[in-house]
Amino acid sequence: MTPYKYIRNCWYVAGLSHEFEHRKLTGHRIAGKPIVIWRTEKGKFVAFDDRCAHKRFPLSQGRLMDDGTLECAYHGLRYNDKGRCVAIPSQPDSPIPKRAQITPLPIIEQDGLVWIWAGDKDKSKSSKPPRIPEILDDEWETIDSGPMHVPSNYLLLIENLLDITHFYPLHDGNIGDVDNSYIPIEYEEGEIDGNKYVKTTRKVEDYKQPPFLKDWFVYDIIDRHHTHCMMSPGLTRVVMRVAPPGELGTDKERGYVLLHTHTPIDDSNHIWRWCVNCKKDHMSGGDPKVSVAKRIVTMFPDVVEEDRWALEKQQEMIEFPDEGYSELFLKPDKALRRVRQIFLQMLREEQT
Amino acid sequence: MTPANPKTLFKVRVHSITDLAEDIRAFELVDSKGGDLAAFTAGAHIDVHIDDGFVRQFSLCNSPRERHRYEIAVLNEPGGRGGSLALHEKVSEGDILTVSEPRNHFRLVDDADRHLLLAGGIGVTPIMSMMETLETIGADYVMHYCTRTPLRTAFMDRLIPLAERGKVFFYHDGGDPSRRLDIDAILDNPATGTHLYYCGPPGFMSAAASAADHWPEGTVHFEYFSPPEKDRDESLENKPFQVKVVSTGDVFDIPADETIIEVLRGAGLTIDTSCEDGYCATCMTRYLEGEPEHRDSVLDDEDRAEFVLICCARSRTPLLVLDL
Repeated sequence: MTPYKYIRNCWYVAGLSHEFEHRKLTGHRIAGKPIVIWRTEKGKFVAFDDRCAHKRFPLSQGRLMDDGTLECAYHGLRYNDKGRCVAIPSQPDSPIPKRAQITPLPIIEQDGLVWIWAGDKDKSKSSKPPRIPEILDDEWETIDSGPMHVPSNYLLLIENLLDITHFYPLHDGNIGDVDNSYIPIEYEEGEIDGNKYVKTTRKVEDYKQPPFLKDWFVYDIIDRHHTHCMMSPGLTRVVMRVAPPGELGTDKERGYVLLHTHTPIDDSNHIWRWCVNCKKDHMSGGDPKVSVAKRIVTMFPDVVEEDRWALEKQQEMIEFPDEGYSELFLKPDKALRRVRQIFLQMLREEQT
Repeated sequence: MTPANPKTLFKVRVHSITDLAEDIRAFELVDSKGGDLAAFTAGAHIDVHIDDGFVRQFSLCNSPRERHRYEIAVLNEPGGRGGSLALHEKVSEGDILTVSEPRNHFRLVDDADRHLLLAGGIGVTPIMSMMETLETIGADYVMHYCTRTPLRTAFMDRLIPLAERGKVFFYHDGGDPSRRLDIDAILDNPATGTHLYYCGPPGFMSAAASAADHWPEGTVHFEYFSPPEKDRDESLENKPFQVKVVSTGDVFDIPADETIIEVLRGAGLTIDTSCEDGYCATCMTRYLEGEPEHRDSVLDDEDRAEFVLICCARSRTPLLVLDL
């Protein structure tokens, strides 16, 4: 069985809070489901299966009326924020059929992220969206990439994030080098809020920062703690902490919390959002007038483009039949193998 | 050139017998009908059928360019299985022996930049023909030859000129392990493009295998003259054991001729695998109790302390508890 599918029973990020204007309909394709999301006038999030009860027309193409109801663009059926149809223009005097109803989806706005459950509603309490303290915390400056479409299965992005021995050669010269590949990896797995997590920790001393990292985090030679944690199939949290040798934990420390959300569209496509969080008062080395977060945002897209290329190429190769081919395990793949096993277990549970 | 057929047997005549060193005797064999013998490549061996039903393999130690003769060198091992004793005591010049055509499991690599040859005792025989070929083609090589004493060292007449050119080094330990060649030091830092070839008695083979553990894949070549010594207490024989699946508490018998995954799948469990050959780690499973007998080729000691590849692993303890 291949793990390169998508898990339906999982919370996924539909966007950051700021992406959703009040009273604006947005259409999404998440875990094989068409979804319409909007934020009511009072700020509450609602989400439904995007198909009008009548003829499947995508409701996200419709409009929100002044009274807050959603009108389908095709025959004008109107729905309230509970999903009940409240008006059918072609038959104003008849009772509204019981089945004139659109299916609500569980949706939670939490910590600056909007999480949606596209799977079995009954299972939506089996886990909670992972907690992320930095986005809403004023001490951190947060800048995000917005949605990026990637023509690959989302597990490939998770695998990329959990094995950074790809920094050489993929990111050689910007955020990586071959010395990064020699750093020993500590490995941890567990479960929080119903989400199995897999985490790698890389600690190194007296490491010479590659060019981009030096530009962002000022110092030439540093001690570094670098962790990558898949907190759930929907989100991976990366934390980099650097300081001059011996000074981690002091106010000389620099670094970021880099959040990656990976929301599957279908088996071979996903939406990637990255979101960088840096302490507000940290200024970059490359331009001391510019904060680290802003500096990162001008330079990180080049790195992201390298990863995106790799994911696209990998997806192309996965689509060939194995015919005797099996991937070779190298030590840094331990975290990836465990993630694949978690995915296979979750996929299997959904089949029964 | 028609490739030799190793099943073909033919008759040879013992043309000469020479004592090369203490307990080492060379037998020069020629075609009983006087023609060319089947060609061979350096590192090859032939089966020799000795009377009383012994069949023993001996490496050819002369130059592959010689088509008129095979040379084998036999160490007299009175405590051995009897083949060498029979050759030393019962075979004379002029005798006819039945031999197989040559076969080679210990070939020189064409595109090596450098060849590093290690010989222990009578293990020098295939190495001798390798050196003939390497000299012929002008390849870069060096040979380290370990024996007990100079008197027990064969082929001195062929090797001393090479030693004078810095191609061969002799080590005599006199039976004292502390005077042995430091194989770890010799094999510590392989230069790119170097291939290693070694042959010798069991202890020598273990030491070389261990010292060459870190060499790049495909660069290490060896030939055993006797069945491999038991390595680090690991038995190569399959023993039955039991596996407990911790989620259900069910215990399964794993017979000697079945793998863990075969039994568990037969019992209806779903196990993900891909290569089923110990290298992809798709089946990597945490174990909670017991001591696995790891049979994979990719996990290191740190990972083996926690995980096992169940497509191929067995167990040293009667019970292995898997986190399944």
